Amino acid sequence: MKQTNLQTSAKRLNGKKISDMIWYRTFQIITFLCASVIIVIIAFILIKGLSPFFQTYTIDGNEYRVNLGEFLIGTTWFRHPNHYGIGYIIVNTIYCVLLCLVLAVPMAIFSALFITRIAPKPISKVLQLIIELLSSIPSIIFGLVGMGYITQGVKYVASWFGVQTAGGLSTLSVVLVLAFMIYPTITMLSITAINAVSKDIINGSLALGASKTQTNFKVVLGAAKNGIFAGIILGVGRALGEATAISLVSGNRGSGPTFSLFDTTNTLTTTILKGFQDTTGLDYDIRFSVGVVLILLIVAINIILNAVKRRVGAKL
Amino acid sequence: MKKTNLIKAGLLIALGGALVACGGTSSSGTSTGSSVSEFDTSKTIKTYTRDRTSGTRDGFFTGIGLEDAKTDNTPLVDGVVEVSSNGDMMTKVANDEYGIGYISLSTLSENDQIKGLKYDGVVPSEENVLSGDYELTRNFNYIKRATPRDEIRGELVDAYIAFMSTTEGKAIIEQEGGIVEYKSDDPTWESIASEYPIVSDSTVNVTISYGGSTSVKNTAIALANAFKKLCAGTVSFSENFQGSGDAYKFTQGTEKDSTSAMDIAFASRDFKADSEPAAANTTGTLAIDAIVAIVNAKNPYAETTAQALHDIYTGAITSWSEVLD
Repeated sequence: MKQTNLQTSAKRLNGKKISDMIWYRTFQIITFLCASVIIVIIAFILIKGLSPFFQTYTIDGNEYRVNLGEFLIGTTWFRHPNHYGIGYIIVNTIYCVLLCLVLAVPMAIFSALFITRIAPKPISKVLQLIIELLSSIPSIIFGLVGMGYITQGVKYVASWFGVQTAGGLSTLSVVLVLAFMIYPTITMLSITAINAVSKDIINGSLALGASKTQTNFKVVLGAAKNGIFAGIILGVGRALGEATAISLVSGNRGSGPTFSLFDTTNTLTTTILKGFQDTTGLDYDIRFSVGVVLILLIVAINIILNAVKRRVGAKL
Repeated sequence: MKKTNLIKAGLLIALGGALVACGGTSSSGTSTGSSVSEFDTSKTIKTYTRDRTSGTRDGFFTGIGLEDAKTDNTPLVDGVVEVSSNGDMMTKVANDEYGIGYISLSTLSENDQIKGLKYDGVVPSEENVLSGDYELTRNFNYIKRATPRDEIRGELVDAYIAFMSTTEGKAIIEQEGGIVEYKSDDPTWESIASEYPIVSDSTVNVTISYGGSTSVKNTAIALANAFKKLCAGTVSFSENFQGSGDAYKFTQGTEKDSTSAMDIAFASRDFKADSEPAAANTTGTLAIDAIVAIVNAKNPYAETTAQALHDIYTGAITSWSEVLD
């Protein structure tokens, strides 16, 4: 049947249309395949991640499952045999990412403004190249720099304040490593956004008597808002998802939460990573539960950031 | 007006951040210099531990009488830092003048950054471990069935055990981090192979079940992989390493005739005379694992005891001045 269908349609269509059809189908199949992989991944994570709460695991001859409430608000990662808690880890994660944004976003926006609006052409070209290079540095390199130098620096700074650190493994080290990592991402997207601002608006602002600085902050940034927020959202995603680099500098704290800059900390990603290769059974599956929470957290933060974007838009 | 204030505040934060960042990179060269090299005994002791899948952690906390801490961090002092390997432990303690940790003796390389502590006055070294003077150790023991499941398996297990004490077997054990004593009369496998005719029997096709301590797992598997190649027949090993508690149970204890019974099993501790009465000539020691407590080289602390380590790790002692007097 198909054969005859194809033959009749081939008669109707000329050669160009057939090749269009082939490409159309090819792209369609590729897109569906890739999209279905995402569905498989999410389904797999969900099934694995939910099983600790519904399935029983045999530990030392007894059967256990994990209490979901305790898991979500717990202040100790693990107590033998089946008590897991990530409440404090969620708080630590949000705290670290928030501090990192406070540090990276202003720097990134000012750098972008400087590169696009203030610096002379040759300098801005060189700077832009440097930012692009920075953004292509793999995160593990940031981790190594963090472990070798940033922790040392943090330890040194802490000793000025008379605070003792665990060799510099601390919230501050995590925040600095993350800030260095997401700074180029936000800067690059901000540069693109600012470059796309219409010259007419800028000239209009200047013609009305606003100074260059007033124009930059009140007109350019306002018009480039969407692009800048896209950069921040990408940066937050990168910061929340980073595991290896920060597991090198966080100190993997077993209980919390901790708000001191010089105390050890941990995030959802480092928790997933820690000892993953050496473990089995419940302790293995619970990492997927942490993964589910991480996905939900990223979605929630994206929604919040989008809401903030609308609010900021209304003000400017 | 408000907006410019906000911008100013943002600028300040950014500047502050940049300053801290600069401090971070520029001070690195001098941080190991004179300003922090003086050891301040009033500082808090920072404890470092391995994660709970580690056999070294198991051995360390058993050795210092803190068995509760083998399975989770609850008995430990708040703020204990978990590290992922022996190497990681050495790096972290090297970075922290006030840190204390522990590693497997086989990975200890004394340098100008860390030092191993004497335990009960004995220097941690292979000689002292073998002589029995250094006591922060545990034995890796094997146990076989009192009555083999069948003749072929029985003979193969005997050959496997004999292989452990050959020069080839000991080299493998040492490679996996165990401490073994080389004697001048250690046989080579070649010289004793004829005593185990089962090994050269090419008609053999059997699976040996083994298991027990997770700490001995890698050593046992490495030995089994080497042993397999020496057999003319098809010998495969089926592993089930869950913990030392299984060693007696599945070979001579309550589960010896169950479906998951084992032909040979391993324990990273000695068998308990009262609850694990192993039959005569069915057990032995294949290696010794020694653990050494380490501190930063700048730390004047040099000698420790089980009690001191126990108190440090539970938080009963929190300041270096309490152990350095």
